[in-house]
Amino acid sequence: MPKLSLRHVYKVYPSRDKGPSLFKRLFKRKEIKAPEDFVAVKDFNLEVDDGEFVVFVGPSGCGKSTTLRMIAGLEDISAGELYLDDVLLNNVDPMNRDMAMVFQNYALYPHLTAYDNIAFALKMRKIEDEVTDKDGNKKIVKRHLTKHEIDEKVRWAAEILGITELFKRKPSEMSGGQMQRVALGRAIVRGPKLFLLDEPLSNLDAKLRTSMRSEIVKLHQKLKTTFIYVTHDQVEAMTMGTIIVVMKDGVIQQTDKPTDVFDYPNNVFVAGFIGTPQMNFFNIVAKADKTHLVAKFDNGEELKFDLKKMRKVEEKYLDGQEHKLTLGVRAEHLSLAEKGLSTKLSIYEILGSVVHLFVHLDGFDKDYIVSVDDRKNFISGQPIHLKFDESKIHLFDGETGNSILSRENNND
Amino acid sequence: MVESSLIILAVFLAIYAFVVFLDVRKAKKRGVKYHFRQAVTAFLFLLPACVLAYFFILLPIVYSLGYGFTKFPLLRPDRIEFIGFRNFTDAFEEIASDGWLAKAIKNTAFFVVLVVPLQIILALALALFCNFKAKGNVIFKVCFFTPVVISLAVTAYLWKELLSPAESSFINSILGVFGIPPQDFLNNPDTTMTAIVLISAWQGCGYQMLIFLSGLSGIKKELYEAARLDGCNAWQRFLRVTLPGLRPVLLYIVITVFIGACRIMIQPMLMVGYQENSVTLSYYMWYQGFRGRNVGYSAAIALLMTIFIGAITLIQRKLLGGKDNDR
Repeated sequence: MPKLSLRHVYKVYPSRDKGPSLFKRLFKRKEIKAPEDFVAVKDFNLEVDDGEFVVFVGPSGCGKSTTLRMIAGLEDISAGELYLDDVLLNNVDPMNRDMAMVFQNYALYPHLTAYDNIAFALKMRKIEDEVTDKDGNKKIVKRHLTKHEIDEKVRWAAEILGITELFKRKPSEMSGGQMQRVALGRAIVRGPKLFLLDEPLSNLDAKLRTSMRSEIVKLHQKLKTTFIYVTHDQVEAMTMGTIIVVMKDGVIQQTDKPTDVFDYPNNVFVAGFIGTPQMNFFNIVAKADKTHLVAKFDNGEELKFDLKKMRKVEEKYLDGQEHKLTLGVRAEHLSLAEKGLSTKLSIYEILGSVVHLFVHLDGFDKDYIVSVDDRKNFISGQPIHLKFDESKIHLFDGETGNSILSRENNND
Repeated sequence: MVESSLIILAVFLAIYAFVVFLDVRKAKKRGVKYHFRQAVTAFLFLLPACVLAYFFILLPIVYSLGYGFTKFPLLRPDRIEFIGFRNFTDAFEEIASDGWLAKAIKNTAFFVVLVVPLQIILALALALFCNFKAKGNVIFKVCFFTPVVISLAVTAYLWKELLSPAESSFINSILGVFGIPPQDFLNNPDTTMTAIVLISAWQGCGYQMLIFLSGLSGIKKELYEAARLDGCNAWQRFLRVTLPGLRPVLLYIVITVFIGACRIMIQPMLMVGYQENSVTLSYYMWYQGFRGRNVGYSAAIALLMTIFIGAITLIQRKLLGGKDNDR
């Protein structure tokens, strides 16, 4: 049974445009167009099981934070349903949803010490307690936590995060990393059903971000609660999530395990967004029969791919006709060869363990990246022949951008 | 007169030069290369402001300090004579015998005690009301701020008309609808100061509203969201997020409203006149100086008032300011 489920969720902001002027409305009736509303999230469907680490990833403005805020109750849901443990949450106030959120800029109360910040939610809430009265009847009574109970919980949370020594400090006396730890402490201390994290690491420097990343993963493993994490950083998504939701323009592009998102991207956007360096995309005109696919590149060169070595191609593209396609291949799945696609080297970067070669087709500006282990001397402008690892190439429809390969290999 | 102001100017310039000297020495200690000429240039830029401050702030303060210890009939400066602490003892005798000064203190205290909380609460309420992002909110802001822009004298006369004892006056005709006989709010000793309190709060609160609004805009939106998720209802969010967030602004507002309230004069002067039920400290001081032509006595009262306001302000700072300044 899924813990959290979002069904056909939409978020629509009414247009800020006040529409045509009175003059236009009166005299130029034909030209009137109703101001269009802005749809931030479109038909969002997601089922999350208990204990998952879900990462919403996408470029800024893709609706990932909006979705998270709808789950938290900080934004209204325009249409659709949100369930947590089979309870409809659409109209439930945030304070009654039993979720904790970590904000990008920490949102610690500036006038309270770290200890009081962590204890704040505990002081606000009432718990249900079973009490036996004089006649021996059991009653459920709502009460605040005692000071001792609060202290116990705050110390438990602080020990997990290693922030006991910060107790007496106010937010203004803490560094970014320390503040983020306290913010995490404030979230875990309540033991909520769901953790919502809205780009919690973006305000930290690169080194701290890496260490906090692993700490959050460890925290997830320790608490075994459902985490929903929003980020625009695909590395964070790949390393932290058990499920990745890639979004663009308010629409889910792909929901999958991190490795599957990497290996089997649904479309050109996902393929380009996940993975560094970015996947190379070649425009090709392809003609395929039952055994081979002949790809004609922009420079007129033709390469023959063995269909048996590739993942299964959709049947309708195997009709022997020409189709405009996009061929995607990651830098590490290209190699240098005697024969192959002829390109010229623009520049190269030695990164230590690997060398990135930036090559272009003769007569074209667009650079493609090839990743090689060999640190031999390269010269700008030298001809380079590229060989494609056929089992690792991706093919997308030239118009829709959707993948035309299935996940299985042909010889499976 | 000219000689004494020259002496004050000399002292002033001497202090000025001393500050320049200290500044240069301090810079040398820190190892900063800071030439005397640079220091002089810097302070020359400050000079115009200092000259103005000298004529309009320093001179009047020093003179009124001095006059407090003299008998000084307003129109005969040549008859000025030093009388020591006599003005102060006179003032205390006036208080002890429940004279006009005692009444002025009572009226002022009544006014301050009522107007400070009333005006601040009103301003905060208006600010919270205007802080909602809604269409046409600007109109409310303008309406609430307008009384601040209008001259005190104008509003005083306006309210005098509105509150006039005539049956046809605005307030009385409203009361008439409910069958209440016409009232003379301003001249009835029981209601004079209350009416002045309400009018002053109405006139002043727009300004504090603006300051509160800027304070409110400085509180991060996420804090409210975090508080909502932490289980705070609207009232708890106000207590736990808004009020602590407004503390620095609140301190400033409490002090300025308090000082302003202590100096209340124009409203009673224009609406009621010099009467036992309307006299305030500033009004008493002005009356003694310019009507009674006893500048020395008036200056002594001013000095006492300054010391009193200064002391209370320091106490307020201690109470409201807290130990440390939050960001």
